[in-house]
Amino acid sequence: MRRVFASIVLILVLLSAVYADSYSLDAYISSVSGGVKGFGLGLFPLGTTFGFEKHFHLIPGEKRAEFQIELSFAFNNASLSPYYDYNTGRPLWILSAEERESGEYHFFGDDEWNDSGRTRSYFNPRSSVDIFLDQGFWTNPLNPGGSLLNIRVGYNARYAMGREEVAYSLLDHGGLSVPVFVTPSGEPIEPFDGPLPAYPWLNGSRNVFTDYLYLSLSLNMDRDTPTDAEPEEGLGIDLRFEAGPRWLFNSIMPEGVQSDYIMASIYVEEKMEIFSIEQDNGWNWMNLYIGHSNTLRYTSGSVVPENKLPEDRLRGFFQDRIWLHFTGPQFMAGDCYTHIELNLYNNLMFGSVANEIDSRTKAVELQSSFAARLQLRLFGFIRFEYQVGYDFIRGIWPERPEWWQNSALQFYVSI
Amino acid sequence: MRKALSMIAIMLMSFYLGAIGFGYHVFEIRTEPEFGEGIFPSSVMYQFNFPVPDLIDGSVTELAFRLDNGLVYRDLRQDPYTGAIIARDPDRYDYPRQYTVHFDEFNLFFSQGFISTDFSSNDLLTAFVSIDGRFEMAFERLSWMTSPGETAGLFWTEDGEYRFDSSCSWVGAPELSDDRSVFQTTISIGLMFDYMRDTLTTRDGIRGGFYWRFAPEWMIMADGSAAFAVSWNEIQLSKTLFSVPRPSGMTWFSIVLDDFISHRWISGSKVPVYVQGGDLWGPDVPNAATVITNRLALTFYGPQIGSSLDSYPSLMIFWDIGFALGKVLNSSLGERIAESVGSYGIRAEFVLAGISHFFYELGCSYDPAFNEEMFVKQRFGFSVGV
Repeated sequence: MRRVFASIVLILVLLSAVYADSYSLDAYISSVSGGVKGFGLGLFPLGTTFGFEKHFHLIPGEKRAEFQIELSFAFNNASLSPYYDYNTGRPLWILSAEERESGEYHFFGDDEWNDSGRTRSYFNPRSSVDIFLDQGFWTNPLNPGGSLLNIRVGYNARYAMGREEVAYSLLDHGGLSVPVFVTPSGEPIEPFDGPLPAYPWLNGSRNVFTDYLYLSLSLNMDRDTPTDAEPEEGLGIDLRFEAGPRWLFNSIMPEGVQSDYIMASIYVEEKMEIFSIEQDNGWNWMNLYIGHSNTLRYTSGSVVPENKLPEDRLRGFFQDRIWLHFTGPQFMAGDCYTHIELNLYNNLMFGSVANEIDSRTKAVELQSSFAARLQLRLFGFIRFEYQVGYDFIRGIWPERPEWWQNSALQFYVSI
Repeated sequence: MRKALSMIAIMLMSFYLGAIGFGYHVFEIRTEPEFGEGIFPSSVMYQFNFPVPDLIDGSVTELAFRLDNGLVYRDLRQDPYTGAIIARDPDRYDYPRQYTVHFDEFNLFFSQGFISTDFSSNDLLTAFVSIDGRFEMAFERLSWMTSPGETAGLFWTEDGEYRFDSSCSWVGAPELSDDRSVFQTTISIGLMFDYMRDTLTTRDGIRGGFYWRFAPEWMIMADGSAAFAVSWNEIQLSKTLFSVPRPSGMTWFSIVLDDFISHRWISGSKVPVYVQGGDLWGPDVPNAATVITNRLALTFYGPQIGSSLDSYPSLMIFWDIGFALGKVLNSSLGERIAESVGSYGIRAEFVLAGISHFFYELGCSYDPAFNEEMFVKQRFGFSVGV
C-alpha cells in the first residue's frame, strides 16, 4: 500500500509541477471526548485538518491555478449503526413487524446484542489526504478578483481503523469484560467472524484504505465575502463527479473490496441582498440576505465506503433549501458579530439502498424541517452556536421527536 | 477545571481585540508505522500567532498559541515496579512493550527578539516564556486484539490477565498509573540564538538555545502526575564544504557538514517521557539525570528543481552518539550509570514542495544500551512533513 500511495502522490505532485511556498491551515477544535474521563476535558483537539496550498500560472493568459494538499486526522469514537442487517444490508425500516421478529435479520444493538452487555461504540482512528489542482477561467462578474469558471481535479485517500474502545483495556473500567469485536483470546465475536457486506469497513481486522478521484466544475457569479458578516449575493453552480472504483487500489487490503462507487452531484445556489447598513468605519451594522439552493446527488456502485454513504443509504438525494440570513453589528473587532439564520429544508431521498446485496429495497422518503441557527463569533476563533428545529415531515423516522435543539462552543480557526 | 480552562483561554486571547486573523505555522507532521502504513499523518504541531506589534523596532515580538496533538507510539523503557532500566536485562521483560499515547500539548508563549540580522528571519537572540499544559492517555498498541496472535499487549497478557498486580507503583512510568490519563501544566523559559545563513541546501554558522521547564507537583490545575525541572541546551554548527551555485541563490550541488549537540539535565521524582532526553537513530538513551547526544552529518544536496527552493534530492551520512550519566530517573533503586549508545547510517531523500518526502533509510545501531542486541534496520517510504 505504501508504494502504491507514494506512486500516486508522486505522479500527482509531479504532474502539477508546482511547489508549495505558502501554507494554509484550517484546524478544527471540537468537543471531542471519547476517551476515559473525556480526553482533554473536551476542550482540546484530537482531530486536526490542515492544508498547504500554492497559487501559480499554469495556463498563460489565464488566472492563477491553485494546488493544494490537505491532511486530516481524528482519533475519537464511532458507533455501529443499528439500522441495516449486517448480512444483507436490508434496512430495518423496510421490514414488517413479522419480519423483524422472524430472526432472519440481524442488527447491531439488537436484543441479543444488548443482553450480552455489548455497546455499539468503538474506537475509530482515521486520517485522510486530499490533493487537488484547481484552474479558473474568465472573470466573475461580481468579483473581479475571482474566476467565472473553476475546474478542479483531485485525489482523496482515507485510512481508518475499527478498534475496541480505549476504556476496554483499562482495569478499572471493566477491562476486557465487554468487547465489541473480539474475545480476550483474540477470536472475532459473531458477526465479525465473517464478511459483513453491509459494513465493508468492519470486515476482517477492520483496517480500511479507500480512495477516489474527483472532478468538479464551478460557475461563480457571486460576491466576494471574506467573512460571512458581509451580505451575500449572486449565483453559483457546482457540478461534481467522484469515482472510487475497485481498480483504484480499493481492494489492496486483505479485507477485500472496500470501495467501488461513483457519485455525481449538482448544486445550484442563488442569493439576494435585502438590505445592508454599515457603520462609519465600514463595519456592518446589520444586513439581511435571502438564499435558495437545490442539490441533486446520486451515488451508484456495489460497495459504498463509510464516508460516502448517502443519507439514509438511499442512493438518490434532492434537497430544496430556502433561508434568511441576518447579521448583527460587528463589535469590538471585525470578526466579532452574531448572525441568525432561518432555514426551511425539504429533502427527498429516493432509489435503492446502498450496500444492500440484492438491491431489492426501493424507497422514496421526504423529510421537511425548519431550523433556526444563532451564532456568536468572537475574534475569529470562538464560535458559540445554538440551533433549534422542528421536523414536520420525518420520512422513515416517525418515532423521532419533532422538536430538537443543540448548542456548541467551538474553538476554530479558518484561514 | 473545564470551565476554568475555558475562562483562562478566553481571557488570555481577549487582550487582542483588534485581531482579525492569525499568523500560523505548521512545524511538524508525524506518522506511525502501524497507522496507515506510516503514510497518513497521526500527529501535528502547529502555532497561531496573535498579531502584536514589535516592541523593539526591527526585532520580532511574538505572542502565540502552539498546539501539538495526535497519537504516538512509545516503548516501556523502565520496570514499572522499580524503575530498573529494561535494556539492562531485556530477556526478563519478554512481552510487548509498545503502547499508544493520545496526547495534546498547548503552549501559550511570549517571545522577544533582540538584534536583527540581514540573513535570517530570526533575530540574533530571542527570549521567551510560556505556560504549557499537556494531556495524555495511554492504551494498548493499535494492532492489539485484532487476531488470536495479537492478544498480548503491554498491559494484558495473552491469557487475558492484567499484567501488573496491585503492588505496582508505576515508579518507572508514572504516567501509566491509575487510568493512564494525565494532565500536567508547566512553565518554560528560554533563550535562543541564531547566527546561521541557511538556504536549505547550504548552511553556515551556529544556532541553538537554552531552555528550562518547571513542573512542580503543586502546579495549578495539574493532577500531580509530574514533578520535575529540566534544563536543556542545543547547538547546531554547520559548514558548507562545497557548492556549485545557480542564479537566485539556489545551488546545483552542495555538500554540508552539520553537528547537532544536545545536553539535558533533569531533576525530579516523576519525569514524564516527553521531557526525557536522547533522540537519536536506533537505540534509546537511558533515562538518567544527564543526557548528552550528538549527531555528525554530512549531506550531499542535488540540484533544486526548476525555480523552487524546496524541491531537491539529498543523501545524508550520519553518526549518532549518546551518553546517559548520573542518577537514573523514575527509579526507586538509587542507581547511577555512565552508559553510551551509538548508531550510524544513511538517509537518501527526495523533498518535493518542502512537504512531500520520499526517503530510504539504512542504519546500524552499533552500540545499543546495556545488553540490548545491535541491529541493522532499513526503511523506505513516503511521508509528509515540514
